[in-house]
Amino acid sequence: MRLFSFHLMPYPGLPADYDGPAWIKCPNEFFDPALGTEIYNRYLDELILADELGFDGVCVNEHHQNAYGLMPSPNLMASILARETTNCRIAVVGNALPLYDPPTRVAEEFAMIDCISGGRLIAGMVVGGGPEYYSFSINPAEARSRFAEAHDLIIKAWTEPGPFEFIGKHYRIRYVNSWPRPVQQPHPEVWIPGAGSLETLEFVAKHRYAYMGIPYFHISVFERMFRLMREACENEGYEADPLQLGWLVPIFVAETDAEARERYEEHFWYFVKRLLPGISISPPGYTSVRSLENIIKGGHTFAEFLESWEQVVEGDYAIVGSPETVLEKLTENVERLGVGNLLGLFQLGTLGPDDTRRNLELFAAEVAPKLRERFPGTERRLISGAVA
Amino acid sequence: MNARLDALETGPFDTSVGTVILTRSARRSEGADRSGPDRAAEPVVYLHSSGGESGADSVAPFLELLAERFDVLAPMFPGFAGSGGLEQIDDMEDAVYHCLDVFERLGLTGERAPHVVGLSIGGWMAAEIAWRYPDAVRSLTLVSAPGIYLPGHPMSELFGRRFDELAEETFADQSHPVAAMMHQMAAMTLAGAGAEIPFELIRPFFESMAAAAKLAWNPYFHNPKLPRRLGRVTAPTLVVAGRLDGLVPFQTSEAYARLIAGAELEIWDDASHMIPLEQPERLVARLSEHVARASSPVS
Repeated sequence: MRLFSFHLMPYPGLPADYDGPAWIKCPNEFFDPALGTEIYNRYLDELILADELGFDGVCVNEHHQNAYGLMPSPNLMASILARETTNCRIAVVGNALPLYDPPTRVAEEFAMIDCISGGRLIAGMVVGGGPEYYSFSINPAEARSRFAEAHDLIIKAWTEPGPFEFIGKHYRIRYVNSWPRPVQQPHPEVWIPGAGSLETLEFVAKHRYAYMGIPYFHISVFERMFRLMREACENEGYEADPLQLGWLVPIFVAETDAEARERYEEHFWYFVKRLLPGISISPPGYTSVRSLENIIKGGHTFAEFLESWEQVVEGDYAIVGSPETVLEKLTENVERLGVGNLLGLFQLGTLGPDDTRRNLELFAAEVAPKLRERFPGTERRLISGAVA
Repeated sequence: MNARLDALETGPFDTSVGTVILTRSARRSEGADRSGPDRAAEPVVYLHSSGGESGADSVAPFLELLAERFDVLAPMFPGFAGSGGLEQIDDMEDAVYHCLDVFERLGLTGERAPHVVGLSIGGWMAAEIAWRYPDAVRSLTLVSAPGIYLPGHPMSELFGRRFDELAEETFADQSHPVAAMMHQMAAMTLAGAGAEIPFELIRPFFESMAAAAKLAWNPYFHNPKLPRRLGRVTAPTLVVAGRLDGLVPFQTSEAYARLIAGAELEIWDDASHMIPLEQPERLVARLSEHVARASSPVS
C-alpha cells in the first residue's frame, strides 16, 4: 500500500461571527494576505516534511473562490514541490479540466512538473466541484462532456506524435503539438477523484485509472462507492487493482486517545462547520439523474450534518487517537475497503503547525511502518490507460 | 366541459426530440367535430417555463380555459420533465430551430402560423423565434420573460436555490399548492430528511433545471444581442409581468415593450412570476382579447 499526505491548504482565519458558506459567496475581504504568506509557506513545509518522513507521495488539489482550500492553481504548488522534495510522488488531484480552455494547458503544465520532478507526477483529472461552475460561469450541463473531451485531448497530446489536429465539440485546435513531453511513458499515472457519480466510476474503470473517494461521508458510503468501482471494473472484464482505489481521510495521532481528541476536536469542527458549508451545491446537469438519486441517498451522512464526536468516531469520519488506535482503525478500514492508496489529511481546519508536525512525525514513526508491513507493495506503480 | 389534458395525444411527432402535447378545443372533445382539424379555432402554442410544467396539473386550468376558445398546443421542450432529445440542444439557437420544426410538424405554418405565448424562459424563446422568423408567429405574448440584461435590474438566481426561496420569489400567494409543496420540501431538506422526499417527485425538477441550464447558464438568461434584434419583430405583441416577480424583474418586460414596435405592456400589481398558475382566468381573458385581435378575419 502507498501512503500519501494530502493537504487542502485551508483558510484558518474566518471571522468568528461569520456563519455563511465558505464557497462562491464567502466575502474575499476575509482573506488576510499577511496570513496568506504565512500559511502558504507553512503548508508547503508540511508537505515537504512528509517527503522527508518517507511518505510515498504528497497530494494537492484545485479549488476556486473559497476558504476551504487555497489552491486555485495546484500546479503552482506541485512545481514548488517538484523542486523541494526528492523522493515522493507528487499527486495533483486534480486539475479541473473544464476550467482550462484549451485543456492542452494541462498537458503542458503536467509535463513540465513531470520533467522537473524527474517523473514523480501523478496526473489527477477532475470534473471540478459544483461551486466552481458558479465561480467560473461554465455551463454545468456540459461538465461531463467537456471533461471527457478534454481528457481525450490531453492523453492524445501525450501519446501521439504532434503536430495533429483535434476537432471536438468543445475544443478545436488545429495544431496540437505539446512541448514538453512527460518523463513517464506512455504518460503519468492518472487519478480521478469522485463522490460516487456512476459516470465517473465507469469512466475510471474503462481507462484503468485510479479512483479517489472524496471524504467527509460515513464509512459505509465509501464501502458502497468502492464496491461499485470494483463492479465497474468487472463490467470492463478485469479485477480492480487495489492501487486503483484511494481512501482520503483525516488522520490525527497523539500519545494517547484522550490527548488526541483534546488537541484535535475543535479544529475538526472548524473544518466541518465553517469550511464545508456550500461545498455540496450541485448545479443543474452537473450530475446525471441516476447518479443524483444515488448521491441523495448517502447525502444525509455528509459530515456537515454531524453533531457529536461520537458520530465522528462511529462513522470513521476522521481517524483520531493513539498510534495503536489509529493503526487498528486504519488496518480494519483498509482491509474492509480494499484500497491500495491511503491519503491522509494530517492538517485540517485550524490545526496549527506544531500539532500538524507532531502528527506527521508520530504517524511516520509509529503507524506507517506497521501499515507497510501489513500491506506490502509500496513500490508498485499503476500503469493506467495503456490497456484502454 | 373543458378539454382534458390526459386525453392528449403525443401524435405522430418524433418524441425523441421532445414530447408534444395537444389539447383539443373543447368543441372537438365534446364530439361536435372529430373529423380533422378545426379551421375555425386559432392555434395557440404555449411554451413552458424552466419548470417544464406543460404536462403538469398546475398549468392545466390555464390551458383548459384557453382551449375553450382555441386549439392549444403545449409542446414539452427536449430535456424537460423527462422528455428526450436534450443531446441535440446546445443553446437558444438550437431551441429556436427545434420549435420551428415542431410548428412545422403540427402544420402550424403559413396561414396556420400560431399565436405563441411563453412563460419565463418560454417567453424569451418565443421572442427569439419572432425576430428571426417574423412570419412564423401570428401573435406574441410574453409572460414574465427574461432574455434582456438590464444593468441595475439583474435576474435573481434560479439554479441551486432552496425551494422555499424560489417559491417566495415566484408566487404572490404562498398558499398556492405548488408554492406550499416547495415550502414543504425545503423544510424536509433543512431537517436533514431530504432523502425522504420521493425522488420521483423531484426528478422532473432536476431534469428541467438541467435543460434550462443548457439554454441559460451563461449568458445568464439573456442574449446580449436581443435588444438590437427585437426591432425585427412584426407580430402583434403583448407583454405581461407581475410587479411582485422576485425572479425576473418586471423592468425586463418594460424593456421588451419598448423594443418591440407597437407592443402592449401590462404590469399587474398583485402578480408575481408564475402568472398562468396563479391567475389563469385573468390571463386567459387578456390573452384571448389579444389573440382575437391579431387573428385574421374568419370566413
